[in-house]
This record gives sequence, C-alpha cells and structure tokens, in this order.
Amino acid sequence: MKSVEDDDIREGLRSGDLDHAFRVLRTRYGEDVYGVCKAVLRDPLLADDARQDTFGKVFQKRKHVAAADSIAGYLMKMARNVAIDLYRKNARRRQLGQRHADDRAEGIVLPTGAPVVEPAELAALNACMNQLDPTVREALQMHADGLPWQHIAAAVDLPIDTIRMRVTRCLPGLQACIKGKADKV
Amino acid sequence: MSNQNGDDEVLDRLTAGESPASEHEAAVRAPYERLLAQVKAANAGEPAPGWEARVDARLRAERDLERRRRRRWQGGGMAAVLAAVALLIVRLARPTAAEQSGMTVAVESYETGTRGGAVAKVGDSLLFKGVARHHLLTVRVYRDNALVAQCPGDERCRIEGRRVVFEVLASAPGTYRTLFVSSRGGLPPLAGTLDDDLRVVSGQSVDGSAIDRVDVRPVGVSR
Repeated sequence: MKSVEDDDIREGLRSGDLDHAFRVLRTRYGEDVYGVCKAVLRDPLLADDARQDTFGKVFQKRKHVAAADSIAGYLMKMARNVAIDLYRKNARRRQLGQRHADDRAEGIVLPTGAPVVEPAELAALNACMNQLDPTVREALQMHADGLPWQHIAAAVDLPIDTIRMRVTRCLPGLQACIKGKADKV
Repeated sequence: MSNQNGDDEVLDRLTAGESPASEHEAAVRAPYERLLAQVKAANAGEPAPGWEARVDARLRAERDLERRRRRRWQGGGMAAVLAAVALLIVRLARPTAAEQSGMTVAVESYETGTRGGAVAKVGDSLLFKGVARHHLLTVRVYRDNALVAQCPGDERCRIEGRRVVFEVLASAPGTYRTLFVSSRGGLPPLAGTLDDDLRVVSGQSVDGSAIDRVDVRPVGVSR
C-alpha cells in the first residue's frame, strides 16, 4: 500500500517535472536526511556531504523512488546507506592520514542557543554512546535530534515498535554509564 | 520491580512524545530529557548555511551527467548501427568459404547438360570459377603440361573484380590442370609449360594455386 502523503512528489517524478519534485523532496525531507546522516557519521560536514550524495542518488534512482511504498522511508534508508558508505571511505582516508581537520572545522557552525555540554560530560557521553549497539546509537541520536520514529525505523530498517523499544530500554543504562554507576551500558 | 516497570512506562511515554501525566512522571522523566538534550547537543554542529543550494547544485550535476551519458549512448548506438551495417556489407561482399582465394571446377556435359564430377569427355565444358586474393590475376589451363587457354585473353573468360569465371572446352583427351595466380604488384612472366610456370610462381611473391586435375577421356570411353 503506497503512502499518499507524497503523491505530489510521485507525480512530479513520473511526469518529468523534476524541478518541482526535487524541490518538494528537499524541503520536506532535507533536514531529516541530514539527521540520519549525522547520526551515522557524527560529523556535520560529512553529514552535509552525505545529504548531497543522498539526493544525487535519489535522482539516479528516481523511478524506484516514485514506485516506493513510502518515499520518506526509501529516502531515510538510502541516506543511512550513503552515510555508512561515506563513513567507511572516510575511515580509510583517516587511516591514510589524509583528513584535514583544520579545514573542516572552519565549515562547522554551532546553532545558537545549543546547550553546551561540559568537556568531561561530553567525553563520558561519547564513551557510553560508543558502547551502544551502533543501530541503537544512531536511532537514539536521530530521536534526540527530533526525527519521527517512522523515519528512524525506515533508516535502520526495523519496525517502529522494535527500534523505539530498544532506544527506550537503553536510556537507563546510558544514564547510569554516564554517571559512572556502571562501566558498561 | 514495580518501580522498574513504572520507569519503563514513563520512558515509553517519553520516547513516544507524550506529555507527562503527573508531576511525579515529570520528575522521573527529567534526567532522561536532560540526557536526550545532551545527546543532541553533543552532536549539534551544523554545516555552513546554504545546504539547499548545495543539494540543488548536486542535482544539477547529476542531471548534466545523465544528459551527457544519454548523448554518449545515442552516439554509441549510432556507431553500433553503422558498424553493424558495415559488417553486413562486408559479409555480403565477401566471397563464400568455397570461393575464398581459390578455384573450383565443374564439368558440364554436352550430352546431358549436367554439371559435376572430375572426369569429362571430349566436347564437355570445364567451368572454372574462383576468387583471387589480388586484383591482378591470370588463369592458365594446361592439358598434359601444355598451355591450352588463358584468362584474360579468351572470350569465354569473365573477370569482375577479383572474381573470375572461365569456361574451357575440353577439345581433346588428356589431363587438364589450372594455374590460378594473382598479385598486388604485377604478374610474373608466364609463358612456359605447367612445370615451368609453377617454378616461376614459386619463386615470386605472388599468390598462386594449382587445382586438382580433370581427366578428359575420348568419346566412347565410359566414365
């Protein structure tokens, strides 16, 4: 059963009105695509690259996108796959010492009003997050960033209830880990 | 245990996006709300503004790439069609395997009009057909080592390009043989017997072949 919420996008993709279709697609899902990519990559600039790659790939696969049961679901899943590919490529590059952190730092902007996390707290948070199952960690990040569960579930390719339950259940352990009450999540 | 279950319910309601139903629930949720805020803040960097323009640029690049690919495919398709037509022309123009750079002979009986066989009677026609490697060519027919006909130079000889058809009347009994020679640069001077001519041909850079013999018997002798 195809979702009707994106019928305007489907129509545009099918009729060849690509400008309109992609404008709507970008406006409607650009932020969530970025959220999925950022949850995987944990790097704003790489996530931005991945978002562009995702839309590039969507253009290439627009016939599949138009035929997908859920355009949003297809897009989120594709975004995660693109981000994972980019993560792997970047990991190899990092191993080869080709990453220029200074260059990248210039392109990152911290949103105004974002709560500041103390360095020690941040280190503990990152350490504890790293102990989580990667899928759960990514889903938790997406949830914290405000992505709807429908998109999160599509991105990690799990049923909504399953991934929501896993994220929910990880919270006490994560909290305990950060507070130093537990070594492991 | 019931406390744990109670916390689970509170967390379920939190992650489901529902509002706290009581002050107690709000108090239980507070540390987790703070945790989620920390998770968000820890990864809060944003790329430089203008992501929409960057996405649009990427889409334009994809579009251009697709157009270029399509043009390349169309060009490639046209080239493939032309190549196929050229191949077809070459194949049609190419001689058959039997004709390829060689000569065949058929005996045409003057009595029955039928063709075939390697034995003929006086009065039959020997029909030589062949395709030479090169455009300069000559066909020489010998009876018992002596030249009896040559092409060009005979009215029953037809040459079209590298193809030649030469009809020779078996006017006397004997063993008929043919020497078929072609060359790109020029034909060697051939004026002798079959043996002499074979010697000349073998010493030159020309393409030459002698076909199997055809025995012509006197009339009245059974085949």
